[in-house]
Amino acid sequence: MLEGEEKLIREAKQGKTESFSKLYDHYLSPIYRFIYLKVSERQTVEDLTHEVFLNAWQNIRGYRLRGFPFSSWLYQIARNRIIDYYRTRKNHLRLENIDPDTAKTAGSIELALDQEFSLERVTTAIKNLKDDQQDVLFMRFVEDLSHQEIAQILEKSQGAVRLIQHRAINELKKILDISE
Amino acid sequence: MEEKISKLLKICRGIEPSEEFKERSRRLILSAIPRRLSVLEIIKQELRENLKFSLALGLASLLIFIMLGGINWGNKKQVSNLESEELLSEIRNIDFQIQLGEAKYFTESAEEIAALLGEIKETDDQINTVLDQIIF
Repeated sequence: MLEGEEKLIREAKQGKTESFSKLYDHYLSPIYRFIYLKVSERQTVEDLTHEVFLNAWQNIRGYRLRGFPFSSWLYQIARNRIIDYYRTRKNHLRLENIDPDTAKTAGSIELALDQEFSLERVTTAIKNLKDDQQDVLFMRFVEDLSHQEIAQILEKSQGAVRLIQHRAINELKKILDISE
Repeated sequence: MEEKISKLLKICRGIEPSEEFKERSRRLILSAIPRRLSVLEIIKQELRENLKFSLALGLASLLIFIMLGGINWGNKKQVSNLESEELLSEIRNIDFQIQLGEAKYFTESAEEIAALLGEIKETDDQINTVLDQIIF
């Protein structure tokens, strides 16, 4: 959660662009990554990310503080936007066709980290999981959200989130052929 | 295992939007004006919130009412069974029924035994007569 987030939200609700800009800076990357893991083309990822933040800014006055991070709301908008995108789209791209430009930035980090698995292999494996499993793994291990936050975003109980996480790990282990 | 997967998924943190996109998108978003909520939307939102609260409160009250009602009913049932007078009269009735049953059994069985003994005695007399005739 961003420091002074509640104050920034209150100010943004009053129309203060600088405050929303700070929220945008903080949450842009996580939302971009979340969409990237579900959509293949860079252009679409950018379009959807832009739409999520535009929607959030336009509807910020209707947002209610309930003690959860602002990201919960953004993830919910992003999830709905992705669902709409796939619903309206006639021809889905194959999941393996990841735009090489999109993965370019990550590629260099990948080399630097000297990882056993490539980013492309990991993202392709994640895309083979069920939607809720993808969401839980991403939020838990990529964005380090708590089970409570994930449960709130996905509108499930914490127990259900833990169960999904357990199944997702087992499934990913199988896909990537990782031994214990 | 979880640690291994966690480490592996951290690779995804390398996915970042380009600076050019970040700035362009920000400019476009902030140039838009936030939508003002209409009176109807505000009322709807308030109603939804209040309805949620009222529903939760109503359900909680109903649950408490059912629980208390259940406990009360159970207690009543138990207490009525434990009332000493009722218990005593129940016990007395049982005893009475047992005594009547026993008396009836004894009367009937005594009559039957007397009849049987009478029959045996008659048979015995007849045998003695036949034996006397044979011997003498």
